[in-house]
Amino acid sequence: MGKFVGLQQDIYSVFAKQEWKAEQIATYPSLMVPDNPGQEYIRVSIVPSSQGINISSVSGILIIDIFAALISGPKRPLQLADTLDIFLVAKSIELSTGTTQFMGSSVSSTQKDKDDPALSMTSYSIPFSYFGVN
Amino acid sequence: MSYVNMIDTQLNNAYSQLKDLATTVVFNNRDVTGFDFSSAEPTVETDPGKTVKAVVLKESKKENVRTLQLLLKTAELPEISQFDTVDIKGETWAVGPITFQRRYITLLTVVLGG
Repeated sequence: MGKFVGLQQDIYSVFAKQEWKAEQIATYPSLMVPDNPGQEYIRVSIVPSSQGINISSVSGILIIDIFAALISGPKRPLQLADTLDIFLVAKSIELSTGTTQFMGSSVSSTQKDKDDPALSMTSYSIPFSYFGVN
Repeated sequence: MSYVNMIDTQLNNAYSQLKDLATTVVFNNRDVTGFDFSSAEPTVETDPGKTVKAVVLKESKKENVRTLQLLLKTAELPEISQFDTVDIKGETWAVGPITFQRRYITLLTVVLGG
């Protein structure tokens, strides 16, 4: 298995956990968001943009766009970002194919969503390093 | 007869008079309702194909990507999803943007790559 699929498996395993599902936050990878995703959901994009320490490694940034009802105000997206922090910040995910180490997170300012004016969109991002098994 | 019914009737007449200029196409409705992060597979719901008449208004090709602009009767159309496909003359096209939609007619772009 290549490093990119290994990285994807590591990150997807976070959202496959029962603890995450218990949060009941609709979660979709980018390009897989349904036509009617509802009033609150997150969109996950993995950007493995930099070389790692060896040929089996890669680093980059996990970008999670948080969509929430505009009427819920600026607090709700940040609550969702805090929930993401619990699962991601400083966490190390180790599967048989490799290990992903997350660093600290940040969020962008909340904007009105361009496609659906009833929603706000806040971009949560967290850098990672993936160390593949040779 | 109401104006709505009258326009619908005239639109049906117009399509009849187009004869073979109107092509039979099949909409295959596919909607992603969720995503399984364990298997990295989307949950896809499909509906049986719906056959409608379409007029190809414009055909273009850029590199290996062919594009058609279809004129369709809005009342005949299923709800169009971004994941739908359209079968046209034995080829399966991906649904592109809806460039115009009113009560009676819809202009839909479909795309075939490779």
